Amino acid sequence: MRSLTLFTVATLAFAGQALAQTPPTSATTDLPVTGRVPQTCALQPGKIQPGGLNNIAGLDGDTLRIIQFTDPATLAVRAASASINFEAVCNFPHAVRIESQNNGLWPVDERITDRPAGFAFAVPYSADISWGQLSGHFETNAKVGALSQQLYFVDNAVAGNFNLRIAIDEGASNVETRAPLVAGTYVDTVRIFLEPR
Amino acid sequence: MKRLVSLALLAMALPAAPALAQSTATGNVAIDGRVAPVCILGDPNPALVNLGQLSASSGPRTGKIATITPQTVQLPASFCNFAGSVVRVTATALTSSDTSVPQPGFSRAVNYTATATNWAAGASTATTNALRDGTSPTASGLGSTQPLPKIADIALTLSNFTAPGDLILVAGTYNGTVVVTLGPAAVAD
Amino acid sequence: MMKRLTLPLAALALTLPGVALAQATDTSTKTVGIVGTVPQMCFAGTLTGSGSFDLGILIDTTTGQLRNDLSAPAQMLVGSFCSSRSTITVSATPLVAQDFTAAAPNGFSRSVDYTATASGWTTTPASFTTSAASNPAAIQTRPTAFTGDIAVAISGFATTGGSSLRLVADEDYRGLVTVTIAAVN
Repeated sequence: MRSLTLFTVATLAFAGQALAQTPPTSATTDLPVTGRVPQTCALQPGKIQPGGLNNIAGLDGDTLRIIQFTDPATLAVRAASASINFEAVCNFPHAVRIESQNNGLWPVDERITDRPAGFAFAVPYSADISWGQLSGHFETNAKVGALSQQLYFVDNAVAGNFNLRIAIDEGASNVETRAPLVAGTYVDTVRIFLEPR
Repeated sequence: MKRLVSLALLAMALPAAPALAQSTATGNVAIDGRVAPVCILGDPNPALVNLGQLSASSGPRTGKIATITPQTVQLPASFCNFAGSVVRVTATALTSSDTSVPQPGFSRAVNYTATATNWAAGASTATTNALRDGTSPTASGLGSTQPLPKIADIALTLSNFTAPGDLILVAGTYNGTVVVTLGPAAVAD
Repeated sequence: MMKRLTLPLAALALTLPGVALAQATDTSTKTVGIVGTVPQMCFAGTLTGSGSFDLGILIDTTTGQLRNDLSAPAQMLVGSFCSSRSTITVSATPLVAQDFTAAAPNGFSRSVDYTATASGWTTTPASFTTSAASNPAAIQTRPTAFTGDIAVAISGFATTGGSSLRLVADEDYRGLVTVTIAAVN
C-alpha cells in the first residue's frame, strides 16, 4: 500500500509596520585634505669657500679664474684648488653625475695644432664631491679631449650643501710632469647633475 | 300603616352620611411632568491622542513635520433630547513645552484640523493657525444645526498636521487640545 | 362640598446611563488631549564644493621646502541644523605622505601641519591645529536650536619638525578634516 503524504505549509503574514528610524542626534562630515610633492632636485648657484682657495681668484659668475696658471720660469703648471658649495636638495633617491666637458683643461684656441715635443698641451685635474653621505673622486687625465663623466647612486633624499673641490696638482701635465705648457687659454667645464636614477 | 314606619327608620339612619342631596361634584387633578433639555457627550475614546514622533528623521524632510495619519476619536452615544442642537469644535495647536521664542528657521507649533461628524448634516470644523512662536493657537468652528433630538456616536477626526512656514521643529514634547461642545444652536458664539 | 383629590406627583426620572442627574444641562463639553514629540536631531547639511581640500603641489620646487602660499577654497555645509542645543566639533589629521612610510631622512619631513576651522555655527569658530598639544577650541557650544551654513577652512600650513626641513617626494600626501554637530541636553 502506498501512502501519500500531504505537506502543508503555513504562512504567517505579518502586517508590516515601518519601524520609525532612530533620529540622528549627531551628524558628521569628513573632508579629505590632499597634496603632492613631486620628485624634485634643485641646485642653487655655487659659492666659493674662502678657506679652500689656492691660486684661484674666485668664482666669477660660474667661472673659476686661476690666478697664475704656470710658473713664469718653467712654464710648468702651478698648483691650484678651490672648494665650492652648492645649496641643493633632492627629495627622493637619486643619482649624482659629474661631467667634464673636455676631460681636462684644453686650449680654447683651435689654431694651436702644434704638439711640440716636450711641451704639455692639456692639463689634468681632479674633482672631489661630497653630498650627504656620498663622497666621490673624479679624475680627468687630459689624454683625449672628450666628454668624461662619472655616476654615483644616492639611496635617499638629501638636502644641504653639495661640495665640489677642484684641484690641479703642481706640474700637472698630459705629458711628463712639470712639462712646460704651450701658450694659450685652457678651459674645461664641470657639470654637476642631480637626477633620477 | 307599615309604610310610615319604614320611612321613619330610614330617615333616622341617614344623618351620618354626607349631604348628597346636591348635584354632581367634580374633582380636577393636574399632572405636571417636565423633561429638561439635556445634551450629553460620550466620553472621548481615546481621551489622549498620541501622535508619536512629529518630525521626519531622514530624507529631504528631515527635521520637518512628518506625514501624520489622521486620527479619529469617538464620543459614543452622545445625545440631545431636544431639537436644534449643534456641535462646536475648539482646537488649540500643538506647541512645545519650551516656551522660548524659536530661532529663525524653526517652529514650536504644529497646526491641524479638527472635524466632528455624524451629528448634523454639516460637520463642525476648526483649523488652527498658530504662528511659529506658538501665538494665536486657537480656532473654533460650528457645524450645522441638528433639527431633531438625536443619539449618535460623534467622530472627531484630527488631520492635516502642518508646521507654520513648514519650518524645522524645535525638539521637545508638544501638547494641544480639542474641546467639543454639544448644546443648543441658539447659544451665541 | 367638593373635595379635591390630590395625588402625589412622582418626579419623573430619566434613566439613561451615565447621567449625574444633578449635572445634566443642555450643554455638554468634552476635551481631547493631543501629544507628540520632536526628538533632538542634527542634520549635517548639503556639502557644496568639491568635498575635499586639494592643495596641489606642496613645495617650492627651487628649494624643496613647503610653499608659503598654500590655499584651498573653503567647503560649505549648507542648511545644517540641530533641533536643540548642540555642540560643533572639528578635528584634523596632518597631511602625511602615504607611500613614503619610512622615517624621513635627516633634513626632511613627511608631514605638514595646519589649522582647520569651522565657522558659522557658533560665535567663536571651532578650530583644531594638528601640531598643538591640545585643542580646547575644537569644541564649541550652541545654546539653542539652530539652522545655518557651516564654512570649513584650512590654513596655517607648516612643515612638521620645522620650516627648514624639506618634504620627501610623494604623490599622495593626505590628511582629514572632520566636522560633527551633535545635540546635547
